Amino acid sequence: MKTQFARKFAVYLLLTIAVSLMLVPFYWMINTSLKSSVELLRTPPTMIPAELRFQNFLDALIKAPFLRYLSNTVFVAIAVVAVSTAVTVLAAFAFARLRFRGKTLLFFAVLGTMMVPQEMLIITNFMTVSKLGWMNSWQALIVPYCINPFNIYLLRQTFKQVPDELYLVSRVDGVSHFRYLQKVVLPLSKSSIVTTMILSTIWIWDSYAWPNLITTDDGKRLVSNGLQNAFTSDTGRIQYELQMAAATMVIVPLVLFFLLLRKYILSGMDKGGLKG
Amino acid sequence: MQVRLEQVTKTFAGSKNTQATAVKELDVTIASGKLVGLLGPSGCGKSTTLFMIAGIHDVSEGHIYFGDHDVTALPSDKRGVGIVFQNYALYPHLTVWDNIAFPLLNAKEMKKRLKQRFAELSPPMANFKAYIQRLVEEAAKLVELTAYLDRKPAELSGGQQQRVAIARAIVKNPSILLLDEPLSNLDARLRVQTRDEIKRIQKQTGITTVFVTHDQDEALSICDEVIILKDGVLQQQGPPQEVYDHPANQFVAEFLGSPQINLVGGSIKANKLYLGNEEWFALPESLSDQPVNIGVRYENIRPDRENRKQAFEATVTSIARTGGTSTVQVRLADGQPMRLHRDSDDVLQEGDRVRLYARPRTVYIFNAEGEKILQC
Amino acid sequence: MLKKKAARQARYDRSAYLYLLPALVLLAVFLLYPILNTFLTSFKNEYRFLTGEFAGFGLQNYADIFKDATFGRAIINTLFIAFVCIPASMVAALTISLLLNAIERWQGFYMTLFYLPQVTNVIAAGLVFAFMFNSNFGLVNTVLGWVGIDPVAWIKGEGIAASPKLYYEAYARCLFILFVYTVWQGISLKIILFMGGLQNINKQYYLAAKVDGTSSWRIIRKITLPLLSPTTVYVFITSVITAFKAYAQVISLFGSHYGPPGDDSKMMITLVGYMMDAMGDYLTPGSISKASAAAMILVLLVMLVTIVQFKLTKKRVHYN
Repeated sequence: MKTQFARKFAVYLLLTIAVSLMLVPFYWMINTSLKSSVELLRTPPTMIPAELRFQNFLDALIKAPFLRYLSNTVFVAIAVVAVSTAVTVLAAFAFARLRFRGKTLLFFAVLGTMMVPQEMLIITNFMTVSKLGWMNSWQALIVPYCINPFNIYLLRQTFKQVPDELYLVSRVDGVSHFRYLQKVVLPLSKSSIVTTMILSTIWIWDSYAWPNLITTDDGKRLVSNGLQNAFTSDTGRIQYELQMAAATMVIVPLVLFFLLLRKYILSGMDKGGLKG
Repeated sequence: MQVRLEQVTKTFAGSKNTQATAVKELDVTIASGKLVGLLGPSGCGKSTTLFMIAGIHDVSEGHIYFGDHDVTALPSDKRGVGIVFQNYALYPHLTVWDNIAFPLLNAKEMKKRLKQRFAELSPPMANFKAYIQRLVEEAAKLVELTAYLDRKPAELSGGQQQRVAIARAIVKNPSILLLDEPLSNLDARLRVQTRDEIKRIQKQTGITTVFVTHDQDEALSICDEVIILKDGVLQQQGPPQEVYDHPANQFVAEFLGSPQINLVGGSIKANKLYLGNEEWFALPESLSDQPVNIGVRYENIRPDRENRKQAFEATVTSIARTGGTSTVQVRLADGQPMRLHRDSDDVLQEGDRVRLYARPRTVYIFNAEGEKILQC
Repeated sequence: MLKKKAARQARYDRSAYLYLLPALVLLAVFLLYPILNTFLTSFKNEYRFLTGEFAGFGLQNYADIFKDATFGRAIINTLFIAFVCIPASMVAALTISLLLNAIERWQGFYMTLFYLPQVTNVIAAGLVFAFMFNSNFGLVNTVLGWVGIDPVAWIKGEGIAASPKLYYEAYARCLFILFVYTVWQGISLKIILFMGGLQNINKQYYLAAKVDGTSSWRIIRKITLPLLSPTTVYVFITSVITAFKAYAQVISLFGSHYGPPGDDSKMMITLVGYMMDAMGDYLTPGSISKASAAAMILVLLVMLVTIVQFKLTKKRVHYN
């Protein structure tokens, strides 16, 4: 009995140590983000800010212009989620339910592209986008993200789980495909659709390479790109307290997003998280 | 509306270019306003036939007519049929009301027709919504679910869910109602109750109804007519009692009736019927000598006290008493068993030698191919 | 015969192509065409992006990048992430998962916390790590100071061009930072996947072993780990594939010159970094095609690992 208790205690202790270690960066980030620029330069650094300087967040928003980056990212994320959800739902429904020639071949094309590392696509997409004259445009930030083979696959699997008989009944009753999709399939697949929307949002929020390549205009930069170079002061010193405040503003929304929608994210995880 | 199948064949493509024939050259006419059971063991093609009538499966060869109208190439939504599936196929996220109203509100053609009917109503109604409300309530009333309109399917019993499915199928006033194994998912008690309900609803609405089942009890108890299929081939069609009393072949005789009919090996020699090895009686018609199977139902075998025709002797081997009746098993001279029903107060004992007879017109004689060659 | 055909055709849903149209257009333009075009471009010698001219097909781009010392560094760093960082973070994740699996109360709470790195922006977290390793104001040196170790100049590159010894010391320090960050960043997903695998293992095995009085460690070694091996293979393969694509984390830790200040060798560059740099230099003739060749090497590596996965899965996944 005693050893049982000791063992349990040890397990919790080890887990707590591991979690604490893992949370250290979050602590250091928030700690730094609240220091004044004077306090920041103290060595050894203070473990808790002597004075909480929330002004850093405002400064970061205005200076970079980080507010601009944030609103750009939110705008792009909303646009991508809206368009790609529509595109994905329609295609997934066709693959799950409709009968047409070339279905197997096309579906294999979708599956095939899932295997290819997305990074290799960047080269040609860059060429395409520049030929279309889309450099530094919203289209370039939005359109290429609107196709996601994994989401098509995920939703097709979900749609296939809706019993055949529901479809057959609605066919016999003269309900159109679109109505059936709208009134039966979508409500029954709500949680999977929300999952794909969340995964898309995270995807945009974290994307770095593509937006970095096609935007040179500060007015169209996304948070990940803005973070890096924005906080160098006139003297060439990096203003860490502002950088960390900005990093906090990038990280915290997604953490909150996750905590609120945990159920959906974890359900899409097994397959989805690996893409990131 | 009358439904007529003319030489209807359905083949499915199997693996490696093989083809499986599910229904073969089926010729059947279903009279208008009748409740007709499509009956057969699983895999006999009865559901396939129903789906072809619904337009869910296409017809490989042959034609289907609704009245005089050839609907073979018509898509299912243009056929004006209502369908009910074994698993009810209710929309789980919608209330009973929404489920019933679904075909009215979500099918374009239907809505157009309803609007027209609404415009021609006399006396006119205030608004279209109220008209839909009335149709839904009428359907709900017919299946006695008025009190459950706000519930979700998951909050209903199996029988109630099935009635919602029926209401949804009939609310659009279909010319034909198709029921695919509507009772299989219900427990025994609900099954009896629901099947009587189906009978009542069908009589009340007068919609031509095709009812698929593998349970002969169900079909016999409520159908105006039964159509019996085996391996996609029509075996017999007719009113239940008639098919029961006059089976066309050994398959039908065996398939119908519970408990299953007695089947005993025998033969015809010199125009006399032999039950086992024993001579039984002289045949009224002349037939060639051949081995035969003889079928007699339990209830048609009785003790013989007056030296009747079609009598034979046997030994009682066991008696199983179940309430008011007992099932008596006897052994013929050559050891073949037969069973019959008796009242429980009969004084039979195991080992008794008894004289029995088969009632006139209840002895079916089948040849080696299973065809009925005579009924005496 | 004619009628039969008509009836068949009516069964196809022609509207299906309308449903598919947007997806197919996007798929063709942004996924299928790039695969084909990048493949072709990698064989175009002296490809000029602006005019589309090139000096015939050949293997020159591949020859060029293999001669390039920076490409060699890119491959080594990428392999370091795949085969040093990934196994380490798998061991850590597996240990944590086994601990998590042993508890019931608070399990969800711990799992939520362990999941946080996964939803953290790669660049933002990288900047945090870089700052933690800051020589003067960083947390790491502070903690080292508590135990009496002198501050380490973690990200420092002055003078390294002249001295190979200094160069490799700086390189070792940077690898260590990359290691710490990669392990931290990748641990969440692995824990989730391992937990999924552990929960799929039939409890009966454990009960039988418990009844026999087998020790916990023996149960883990003899039952849990073998039964978990399909998950382990899956986690390893998918993590290695992710590692091959490493890019943003190096940028966030070391900046867009892939190294400590003062380094001009792109010390910490990765395969994708090499590709991105070549592409960023798109006006130089042959640069885009060199990027394509690097991309094809990436595809090749991913394919190789995928084939290994198929082989391993065939052999070992009978357990479930």
